[in-house]
Amino acid sequence: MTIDSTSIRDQFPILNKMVNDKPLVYLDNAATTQKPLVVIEAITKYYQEFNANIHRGVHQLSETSTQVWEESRQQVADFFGASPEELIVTRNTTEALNILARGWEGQVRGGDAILVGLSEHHSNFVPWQEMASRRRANFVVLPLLEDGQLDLAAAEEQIVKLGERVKVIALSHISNTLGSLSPIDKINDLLVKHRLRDQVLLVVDGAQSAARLNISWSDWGVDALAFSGHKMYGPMGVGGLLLKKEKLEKLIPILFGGGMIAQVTPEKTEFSADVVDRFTAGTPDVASLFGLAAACQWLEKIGWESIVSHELDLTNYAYDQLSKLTEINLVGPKPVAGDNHKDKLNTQLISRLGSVTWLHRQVHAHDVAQILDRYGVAVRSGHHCAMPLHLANNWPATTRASFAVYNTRAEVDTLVEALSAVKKTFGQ
Amino acid sequence: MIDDLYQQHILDHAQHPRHYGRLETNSKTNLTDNSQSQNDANSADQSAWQQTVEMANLSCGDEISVDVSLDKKGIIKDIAWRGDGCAISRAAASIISEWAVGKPLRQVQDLSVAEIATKLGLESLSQSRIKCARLLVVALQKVSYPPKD
Repeated sequence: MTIDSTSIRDQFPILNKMVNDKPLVYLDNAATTQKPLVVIEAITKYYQEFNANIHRGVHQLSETSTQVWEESRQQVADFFGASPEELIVTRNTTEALNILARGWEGQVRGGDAILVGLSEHHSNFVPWQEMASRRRANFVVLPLLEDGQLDLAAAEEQIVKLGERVKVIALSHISNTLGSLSPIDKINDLLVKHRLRDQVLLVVDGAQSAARLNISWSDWGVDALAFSGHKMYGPMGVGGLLLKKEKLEKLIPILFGGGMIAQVTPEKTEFSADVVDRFTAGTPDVASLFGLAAACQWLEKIGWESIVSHELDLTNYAYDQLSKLTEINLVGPKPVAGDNHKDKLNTQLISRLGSVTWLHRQVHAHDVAQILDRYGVAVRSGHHCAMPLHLANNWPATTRASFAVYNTRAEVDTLVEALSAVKKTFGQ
Repeated sequence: MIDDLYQQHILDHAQHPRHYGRLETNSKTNLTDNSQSQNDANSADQSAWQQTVEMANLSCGDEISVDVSLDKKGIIKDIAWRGDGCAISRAAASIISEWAVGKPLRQVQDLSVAEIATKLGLESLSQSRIKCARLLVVALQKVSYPPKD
């Protein structure tokens, strides 16, 4: 199953844009993906036809809007193979992880341990570091192997050493900087093996994986998954936290106000018995959730086999092409070797998906990105909100090209050509 | 293709930065080997007051340390800076350092984005590069003069 990139590209009006008189080559998808027409139209449709505040309104429009909200929640939950009772709608991954870290801190005591990976995005690093500091718990950063993959042996050593003190393990599904996949299932197995599974909250930052890997939430051993709608072809301003029911019941709300209460008196407030309502304080972004539901259905229509093989093909191709350039050093693991199509959907064999990141030997990452922009090529430069990783490797800044279903090998070729202009501009 | 931002003189300053290195002081610091510092015999001049300030745009990977010596009236006698950064931050530090010698510190601290762009020979600076171009100026804003001793 291959992707018909022409028919896909036709659905993204923004891809027709010219940048600096060149066709836009958008390779900043790990930051945010572009939006297909079905998503843009869904948002417009919501405001043209359904807009009213949800819940508690008895008038027709409020009834319709509530229905749109509930159906969208169902569709987004379905996309992850989850139940809507396990979905808290948030603004984005960052908000999801903050709601989780703050609401779970009552479960963590002084001397307990919170483990995170070295390559985590700050959104899956700082909330846990803050939690550890408030609870006087140990904040343990798990090291990586030389190629950027999590050092599983070192992780096991920590888990064994800390034993029952381990209360949270937070890892990205796919690293936003290295493109590497964390061995989430193996970590889960380790927890089971050492009889620690029930007491640990296993948290996955799914920001980079939600639109790249088929997540089967109900069969998955993890407890929490955070995601952003805008990184999965949906609108900005909407995302979610999936939390297994028994954990959700223990989570304390951090946002208080309308919508999340059962009864309020001058003396005290009783929160809603409905766990999801408890975490929906204030008017939510119904239009954006409706847009995200449209994005989920759109992705399902393309199909996971096509999505994974396309992303893997681009990652592989870009890695191979860029590794021929002597002026740059690629960072992070090699994607899976070879062309074994049968194995393409076996995520155990994929070591990297969706992006390539490099360090230019002579030119600062910002200058690289700026010169690429002259050729219409949009990439990201900096520390990609993963400062601990950059500091540990002594990288001042790196440049990243990240892919989506609408990208093509020809666009990777344009990137490579534009990189030769960097060399030329700096006279090397 | 003419790349406005990377004009020859900007690249020249970025690759061969002026006033790069350290100022000699009575107490410490040596000129680094690759220093292009225009440092004169300031160290012997007892009327000079010297301070080192640092600034980083960690999100960009730009870092700078600046030595500045001032006379009693707050006029910059010399500047030397070192650090890592993109071509724009290095070129701006180099060009502004050259210009700043002999100017009141206050005037350099108050340089606007538009003035910095002009000094770089650019019509304007894009939002994403303002931080780079201002690195040295923002570092100098940390200089507290007159000294409180």
